[in-house]
Amino acid sequence: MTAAPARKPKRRWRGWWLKQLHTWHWMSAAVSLIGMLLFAITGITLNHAASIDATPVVADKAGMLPPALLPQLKTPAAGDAPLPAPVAAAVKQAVGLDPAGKPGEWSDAEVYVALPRPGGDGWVSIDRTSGRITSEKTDRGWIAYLNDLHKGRNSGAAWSWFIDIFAVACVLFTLTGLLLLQLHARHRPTTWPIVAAGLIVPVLLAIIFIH
Amino acid sequence: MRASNLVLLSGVLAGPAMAGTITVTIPAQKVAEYHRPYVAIWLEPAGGGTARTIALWYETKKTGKEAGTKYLADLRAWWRKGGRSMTVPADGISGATRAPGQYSVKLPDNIKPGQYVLNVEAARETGGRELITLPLTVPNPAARGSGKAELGAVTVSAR
Repeated sequence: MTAAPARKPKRRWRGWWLKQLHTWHWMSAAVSLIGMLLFAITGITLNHAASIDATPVVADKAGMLPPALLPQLKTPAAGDAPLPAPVAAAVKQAVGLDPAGKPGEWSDAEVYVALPRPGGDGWVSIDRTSGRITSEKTDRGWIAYLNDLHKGRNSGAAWSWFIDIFAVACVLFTLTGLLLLQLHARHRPTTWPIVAAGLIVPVLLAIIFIH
Repeated sequence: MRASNLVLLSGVLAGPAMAGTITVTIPAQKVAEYHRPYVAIWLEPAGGGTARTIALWYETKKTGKEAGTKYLADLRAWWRKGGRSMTVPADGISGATRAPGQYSVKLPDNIKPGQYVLNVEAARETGGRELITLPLTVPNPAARGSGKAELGAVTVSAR
């Protein structure tokens, strides 16, 4: 009776912590589980990227720029200026690749626009005197596409933000999970041996087998 | 295509033996994830014409279906100027990627006298890409240039 008030606050704190951790844990899980599944699978496909066959599909195309647009290629605004909008539209019409807004590389003979994409590549080149358009598009299939998304390779700023935020959600998920393990460890004696094994096994592998 | 082959052949067979050395510097990069760059060195006749690849450094040790050639297209200028129609590995041209440092490449002895443009291009995974172009006269080539990020000094001497 006299000891109870002394114990109560502690238990109340524990209850508050449990509630908080559970909330954070299930919410970060809800946010990140689908992504985590994708990243785990692409972790395997990336680890074995060399042995997973992909047949790249390369499409070369050629066309001509309407002569009326040629004067627009005379003087670029800057060394890495994008193509003028009408020229970009004409290029898209001719070869099906859209160079609008992408930085161009202006040399004496040609303008070259690199169009890298996740899981593939592309470029267009326009001869500045004749207006001849050449282009190439490479597609390496959906595994390469997902692998590049995993690495954030050529996938743009929005995607880069997404994988950063997703990674923070994963960190929250794992940390709250560890704290929940601690709160329940008293009733589950094997908790810490298993967690320790999860740390010790990779450390030992790294020390013994990686040289 | 056939005509250009003839031009190449005549270039191979004509001209007195001469020598020249290209020195290329690959700079060290302060990055957490470093991959050695792919490098292409090629000559183009000054007035335009068929490019002639002198050296190509990529992951020649890789095996499998695409055997290290998968990312050759990242050498965008070289790829566009003739790399995509070239068969690799090519004897005396293909080589492994190089760590940061200074490397010498021999100019072939059978280049016809004339005006050329020497191109050196480097592309690095998770890094950037850089192209250096230097005007060159054969015989007695001499040129000097420098990159900003992916390539260091590039010099050509007649020895």
